[in-house]
Amino acid sequence: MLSSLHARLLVVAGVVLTSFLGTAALVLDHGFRDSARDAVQERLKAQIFVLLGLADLDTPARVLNDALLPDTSLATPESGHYAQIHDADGRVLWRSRSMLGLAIQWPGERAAGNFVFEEAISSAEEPLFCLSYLVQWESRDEARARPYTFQSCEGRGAFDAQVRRFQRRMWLWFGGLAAFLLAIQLVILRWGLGPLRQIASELTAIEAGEKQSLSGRYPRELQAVASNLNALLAARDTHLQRYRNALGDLAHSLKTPLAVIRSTLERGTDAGEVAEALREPVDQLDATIKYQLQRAATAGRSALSRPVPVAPVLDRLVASLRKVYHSRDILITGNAPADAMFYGDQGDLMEIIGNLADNACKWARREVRVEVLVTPAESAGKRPGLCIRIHDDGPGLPAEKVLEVMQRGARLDQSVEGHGIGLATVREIVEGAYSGRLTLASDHGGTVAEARLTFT
Amino acid sequence: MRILIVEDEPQLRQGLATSLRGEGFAVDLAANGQDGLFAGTEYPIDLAVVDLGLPDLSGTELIGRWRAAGRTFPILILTARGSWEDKVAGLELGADDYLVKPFHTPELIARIRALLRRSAGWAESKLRCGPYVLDTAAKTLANDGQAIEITAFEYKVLEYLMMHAGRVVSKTELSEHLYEDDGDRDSNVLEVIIGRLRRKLDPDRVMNPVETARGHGYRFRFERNQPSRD
Repeated sequence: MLSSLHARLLVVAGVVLTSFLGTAALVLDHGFRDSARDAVQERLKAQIFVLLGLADLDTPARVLNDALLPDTSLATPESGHYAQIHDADGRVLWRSRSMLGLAIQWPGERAAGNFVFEEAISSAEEPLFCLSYLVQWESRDEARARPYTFQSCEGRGAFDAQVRRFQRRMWLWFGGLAAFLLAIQLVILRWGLGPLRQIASELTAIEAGEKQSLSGRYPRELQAVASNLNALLAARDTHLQRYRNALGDLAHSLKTPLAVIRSTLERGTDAGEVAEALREPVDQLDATIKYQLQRAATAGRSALSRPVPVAPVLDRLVASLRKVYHSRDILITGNAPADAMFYGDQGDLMEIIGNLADNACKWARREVRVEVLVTPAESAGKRPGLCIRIHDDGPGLPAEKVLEVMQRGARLDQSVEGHGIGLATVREIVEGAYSGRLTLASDHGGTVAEARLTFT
Repeated sequence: MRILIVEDEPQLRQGLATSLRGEGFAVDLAANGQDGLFAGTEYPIDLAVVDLGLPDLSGTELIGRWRAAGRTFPILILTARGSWEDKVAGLELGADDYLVKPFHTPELIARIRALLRRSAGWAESKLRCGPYVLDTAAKTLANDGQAIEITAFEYKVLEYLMMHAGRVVSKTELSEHLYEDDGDRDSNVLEVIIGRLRRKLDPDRVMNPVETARGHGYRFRFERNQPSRD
């Protein structure tokens, strides 16, 4: 379940919300109890002051006249409000009428002048808050002051009910708040993650073949992902299309020479004759396989490809060609600026330069020059293009031959020499996979092959 | 000229051996990388033809080991992978030329000849020394434009001597590079052939093109006419 982004965010939000609201509730509850207790204490203290004011300890028979008490609750039995006065030995000198039939334990000897607040339990098992106060009473008769304890108590019932009421109200509010916040969180998540769901559903549609690419408008963070996915999809489509075409061509151009070979073998008698008849279809098969394999291997440009610096690739190719054409005494030079970048597959770049330069070496008399130029980008935001130019000082190519040479290899119904395949391969890569332009032209008695490439 | 072929496909290996022997080369065969490594390190071969897709020791590995052992003979690689990336990688490894399978045997032979000439410092297919011209493509000999008839074995001996014109070539070296194994070596045969070549090259006994370096071997006396490039 936690593999879902939605669930993760929700769980985290839930945990944060609960711990926040829980802590707040605890603090509030604590605070409320404290202040309620303080209120009880204040009330009991006021009562003690009233008792102190009314009591007359010089006449032990009538310490306090109940009729003078301002608060009737002390006169009502089981009202929850009680008061009593003890002397130093714990004897009860006076108790309120509300304590009829009840006893509350004497708290014992205390330091004079201090209020002591504590919890106690009455003889009827009623939990109480009690405040006691020890007073040194100087009587008129005696010179010595005597200690008396005034005690005022209140049943916890009212306090507990108040706290419970508060808690109930608080949990109601907090629960409501939590539910509300979670609901908002849910809405935010649905809204925020909506584009992801959209991408997923669009991808499903693409998988099902109902769509070609991601069409929706996505927020900025996702737009890059969406465009890259689209680029990948487009590259995949181009590849598929190329494979499909290659397979179609392949079937056609392999089966024809195979048919020739089979019929020759079935009918052939004279070995020399058979060998002669087999030569052409075998050459055709070789050329076809070479061309089609090359075509299928072409990677093509992609928006995600890493730039390949041209200069080192060119240097390696030039070194290799120098080695191969060493005995021909051809001066082979390559020149590419350091900032020339090929945005595609390195293998494709090597095929383009390798085949064109190899061709040039085959025709050249003394010199082959490979020049690479960086061409300015077509528009802002696009990457600069490349112009790869290869000169040779060979016999040159008549204009009417250019088209024929360029289309060799594409039409494999004729015997083709190796270099024709090379040119067709380059054309396929440049124009098919990189939507560039390959041109051949005569130039001062030699040939110039020029491949212009643009990158997105 | 002695050539080592390292190729695991038996039919292709035998076919190449037959074609190359027909062209007058001495041929050593190896069916795998280990045998090839041994032959290339131990025998005085002039050139190796190596298939890159060998079963045990890869062709690239083999070339690397030969070069590391200081063997400098030219190497021609045969490969089924025709991409430029593979070609360049092979050449950078120390090979001198490549041929993509399937190839035409005449093309292979032409490449082998070119590599052999190159390693001996010849730029052209015609070896010109003094008045003599040996056409390695047509396998013909001419003296001042006059064609001279020679047998296949005489051609082999003369080709080796003229390839290394100006340098003393011992009898052992000569026989090692002309024969495939030690069995049928007979220095008398070489002496007879040299004698016959001397009569054909120099019927009037004035030029003395093939000198005898006493106790050492033979030397083709005329230096090459074209400038050497290696």
